Amino acid sequence: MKQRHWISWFCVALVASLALVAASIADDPPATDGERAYEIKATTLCPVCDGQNVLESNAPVAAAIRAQVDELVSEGRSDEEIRGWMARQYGKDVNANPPRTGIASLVWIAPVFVAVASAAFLVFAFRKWRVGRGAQLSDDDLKIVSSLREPT
Amino acid sequence: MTARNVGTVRFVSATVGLILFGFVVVLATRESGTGTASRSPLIGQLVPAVAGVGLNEATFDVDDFSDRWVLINFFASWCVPCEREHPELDDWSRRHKKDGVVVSIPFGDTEEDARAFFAEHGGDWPVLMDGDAAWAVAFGVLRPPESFLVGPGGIVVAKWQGQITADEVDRVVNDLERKAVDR
Repeated sequence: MKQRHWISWFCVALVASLALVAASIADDPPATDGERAYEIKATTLCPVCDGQNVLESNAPVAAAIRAQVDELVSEGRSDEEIRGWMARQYGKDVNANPPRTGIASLVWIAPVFVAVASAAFLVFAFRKWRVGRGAQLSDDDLKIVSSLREPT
Repeated sequence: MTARNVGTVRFVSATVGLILFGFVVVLATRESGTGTASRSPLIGQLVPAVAGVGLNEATFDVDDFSDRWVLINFFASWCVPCEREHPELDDWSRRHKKDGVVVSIPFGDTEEDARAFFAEHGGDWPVLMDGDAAWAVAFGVLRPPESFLVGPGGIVVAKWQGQITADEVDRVVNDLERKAVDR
């Protein structure tokens, strides 16, 4: 009965975690070409700047990438095609969102793994403390406690 | 500490150690973020299409020069190294009147400033405006000046980032011509 209780809690926690991960990964599709181009520019890093995306940067290369994104979006190219093209031209590091495949997918998976492992560790630790609270004191234990409580 | 606790501590330490080791391996073996500046995926590939009407109203199409050397130079009027290398481009253009051509493409610059630059520094080769930055992105240009040497046959054979000299370009030309003769 107790085990079934834990399985229920585990299922609830698992579903909640998966829902959070799915919600953070899934994006609402942009409504217009302008929004789509904005989204691509906001997640494409300027290759000669420190951590700035091409939307924020004033570097000529950022302006060139912005112009090309607008052009390719208006041509009807997909997000993947445009991001792939930019990655081929300037290196895969221009993509601000790490890919969800290969070794880089660890960036997405590791936090979930750590969260689940931490939760499991806490559950384990709390249960152990609870078991420890109900332990019987031996006569020797009682003697030590009473000796300590005696006024000196 | 009980034997069980020691085992748990060892297991946790080993796991954390393995994860950290994994991160070190990944970071040590991945490509450097600044490495993109010195390479070009274009080397050995067909030159991207570069065609249009130059500032001198003459039409230019890189495909029409597939039997010559083509030196494609991305520059900007505000860029000091571009100003310094301009006489070198002029020199290279004179040396290769018969078997080569220079084409300049302003990068991050206006047509007006590009015209003023050529009026001041000279140069009779084609200058093409890259309106939607398609060529700059196709060549993966990061900052001016950048130059690409296209060999006869339309294959990109070299890329320079920064100021170049006519001798430097000719070293590549001569080397490739010698290899072609040896073959």
